[in-house]
Amino acid sequence: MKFSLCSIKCCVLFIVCWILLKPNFGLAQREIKPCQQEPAFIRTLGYDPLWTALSTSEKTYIGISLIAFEKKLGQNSPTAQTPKMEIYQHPSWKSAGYLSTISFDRIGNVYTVPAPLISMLYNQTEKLNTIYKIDASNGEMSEWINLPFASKPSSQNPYGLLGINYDCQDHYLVASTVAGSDRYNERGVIYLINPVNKKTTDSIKNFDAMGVGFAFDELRKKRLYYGSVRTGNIFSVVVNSKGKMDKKTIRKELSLEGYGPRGDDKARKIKFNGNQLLVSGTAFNYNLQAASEKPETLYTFIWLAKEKKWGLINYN
Amino acid sequence: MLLSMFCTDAIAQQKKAALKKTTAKKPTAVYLNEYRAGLMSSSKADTNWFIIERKKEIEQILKDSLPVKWYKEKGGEKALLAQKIALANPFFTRYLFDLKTGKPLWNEIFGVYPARPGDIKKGITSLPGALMRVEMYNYANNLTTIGIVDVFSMKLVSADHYPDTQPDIPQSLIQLAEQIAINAPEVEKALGFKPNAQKPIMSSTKTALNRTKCERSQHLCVAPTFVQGNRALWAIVDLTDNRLVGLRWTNTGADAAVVTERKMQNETVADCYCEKVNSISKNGWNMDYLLTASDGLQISNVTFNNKRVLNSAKLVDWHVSYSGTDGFGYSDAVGCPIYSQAAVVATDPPKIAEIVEGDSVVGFMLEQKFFSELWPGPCNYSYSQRYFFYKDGRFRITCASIGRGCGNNGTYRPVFRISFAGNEQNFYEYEQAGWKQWTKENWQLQKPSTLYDSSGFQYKISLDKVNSYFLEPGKGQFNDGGKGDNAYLYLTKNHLNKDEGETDLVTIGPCCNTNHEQGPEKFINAVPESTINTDLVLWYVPQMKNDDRPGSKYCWAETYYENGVYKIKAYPCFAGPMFVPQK
Repeated sequence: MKFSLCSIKCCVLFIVCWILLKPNFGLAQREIKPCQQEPAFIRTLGYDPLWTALSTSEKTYIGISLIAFEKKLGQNSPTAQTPKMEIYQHPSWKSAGYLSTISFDRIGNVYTVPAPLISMLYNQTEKLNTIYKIDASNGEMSEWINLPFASKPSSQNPYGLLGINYDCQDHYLVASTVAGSDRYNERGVIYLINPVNKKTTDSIKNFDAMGVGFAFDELRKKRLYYGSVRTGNIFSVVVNSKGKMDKKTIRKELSLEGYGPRGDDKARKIKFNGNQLLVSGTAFNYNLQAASEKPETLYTFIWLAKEKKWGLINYN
Repeated sequence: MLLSMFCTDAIAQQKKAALKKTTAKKPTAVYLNEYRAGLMSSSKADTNWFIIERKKEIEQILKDSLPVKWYKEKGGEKALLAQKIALANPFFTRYLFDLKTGKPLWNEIFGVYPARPGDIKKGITSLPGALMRVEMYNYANNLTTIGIVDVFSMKLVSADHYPDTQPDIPQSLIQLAEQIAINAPEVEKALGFKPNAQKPIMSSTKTALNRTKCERSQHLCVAPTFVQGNRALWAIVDLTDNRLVGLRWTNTGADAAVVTERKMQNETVADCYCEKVNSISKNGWNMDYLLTASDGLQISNVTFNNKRVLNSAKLVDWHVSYSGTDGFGYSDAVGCPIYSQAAVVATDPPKIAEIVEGDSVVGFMLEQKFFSELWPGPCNYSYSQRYFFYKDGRFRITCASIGRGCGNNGTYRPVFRISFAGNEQNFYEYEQAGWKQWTKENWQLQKPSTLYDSSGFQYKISLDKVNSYFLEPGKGQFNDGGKGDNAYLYLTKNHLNKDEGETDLVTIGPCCNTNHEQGPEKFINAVPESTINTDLVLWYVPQMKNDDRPGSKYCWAETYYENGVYKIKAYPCFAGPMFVPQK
């Protein structure tokens, strides 16, 4: 009897879950379960991965550095206020000059892209389209892939790669570059790369994007979300398990224009938390103004199934 | 006094070029004025009656015990009571006065409404219809305070302060914004007719209000919009300073672009000064000028009385080092606001102003200013670049840091590149025995022991057999607040068949070298080349130490209080040499 009741409860629960998750019932777009692993070298170095973070924005440190935080009783992980205890840098971590976005894969390799900070002094122009990889086991950073330049870099655009992210569903890396673009020519490319053989499986050309991320849409199809650095618009496209984009499915998801304290933010980072779309917005004008002058706003959107559009529920 | 901010020719040319490549029509932007005026420009006197009245009203309210304009447009006695209750609460009124000095700040209640269900925090109970929402705006801090009051129990039940947030504006401010727009000659010129009160639309709608920002000034701005066919003219009005910021045509439609202060400023400067070479012909001088991607405002093809003087002059870098932290500082390039390698950008167009000495105009000045977004906040920078041209043939190339930087222990080292005209140049230094020629590439630091001739000249450059210029470095004698240049001067050969720094240069030196290694030394060969009868380049690197002490502030900026809002006071440290023609 007890077993039977439990079975009935389980069945009911299953049906409820099925109803909630079945896409045709107008459900939300939602995140892909994270798969990223901590790099093994953190433990090898004697640090607790839970109390460390990799950073590319430490004052006086060029490149990437590992921050070890002071452990606090009663806390499981550091917060923004947790004091830093130590900063570690592997000798290879500053070889590429200043870096920006970081992404991890499922075995703990770290991928990062270069971005000049304030001046071009420490970044080589010819390396602006190079993705760097820190090996999960030994912590050594090296050039991973050199992506082609759509046009010769010029003084009108000091940037190349801007965004990078990892697809935890089918294990592809996405990277966006604006190298070679200028005011009147949008020459950016979004690449989907197979990290096993470093081959590009597909790309979107002539589009300047910064924030890139993956999630399931309301039909449970995996989409790549990418934010324009020219308009504040965020688009998406269905990507299959072979790393091919179905370009016919490209659609505009939302625009940041007019939102937030500035009104002209561009999507620097795109990620999902459950069924919420989180967008870090900041100003971007293809110049070298210091990041400290570019306050960032986190916009939280929720999918309005009936209206089939995103609704802003919060920004701060 | 100021250059016209319309650059229709530039925009038209640019449009032609752009239209070849894109189908989108590029709208025209006009940026009118700057909120950071101050250096050499006096504030404009207001003549419109509605602005004069508004300012009088502000002055009067700032004298009240509570510097707040009450909302009296709707809601009657209940709305007045709600405001009275809110303003009696010290938490609601926390930011009415400057927290440090106690000086009154300009505040206005924009609206009083029945509280909405979402306004009522958990645990608050009240009789039906008792709760009212009071929205107050603080102009000085760009801060909104929202209070929920119970008009039956006569208590404030909750209040929150929201920085960088602006509530919906009241009808009186909508009307003021419309009046400012309608009466602006720039709007009439753009439309081709003088609009009336019925023509501006959208200024009262939430759309215009929320989708128009003054990101740089952090002021309250709205945009009365005039629609003509499928185009709309946005008139951005700053209700903190009560002035028109600028105009911008857009296409109407669902995907119509949002117009903001920053976007309009950036596009105007880029269209008119980064992508177009402008020219000046004045007082015997002729030249071109262009805002570069990373070398500041460049002048080129400079002639005086039809004789060539300069090939070009520009400001390559700013090196800023802080003595307290070893190796801490920045190498800032200055230049165009968008699509550039500039770290500190031009947000306003260059200015041309007359130089007046006594009661005479003796020449003119060309000035370009550059700003970090959050200047004068800490670790943000502003620079000025000024070229002076005199009727008697003298000219001076200068620049200044206008603070504020990351500390009071900073030294600024701007790097000028100055290329004189002529293929048979020679360069001389004043010594005890007279003028001695530099026969090879070299550098030298101006020191307290440096010798000058009887007129104060340290160097001389001859352009040919007839024309020479003396170089007079800054020693605090130019009456611009400069305390002396303490400059490095580099002389390098200008090979005409290779780039000796003529094109836009990337950052050429690190932030924090305290010696001569500021970048130009890279153009001196390992075996220095001959500098006799050839093309030469002068590099000039003054050094200015900042100071924040009262009475001696230098390379510094700070905010100060005036009429209920904060304004900016600048203490620039100008440096740069005067060039005097040898008679």
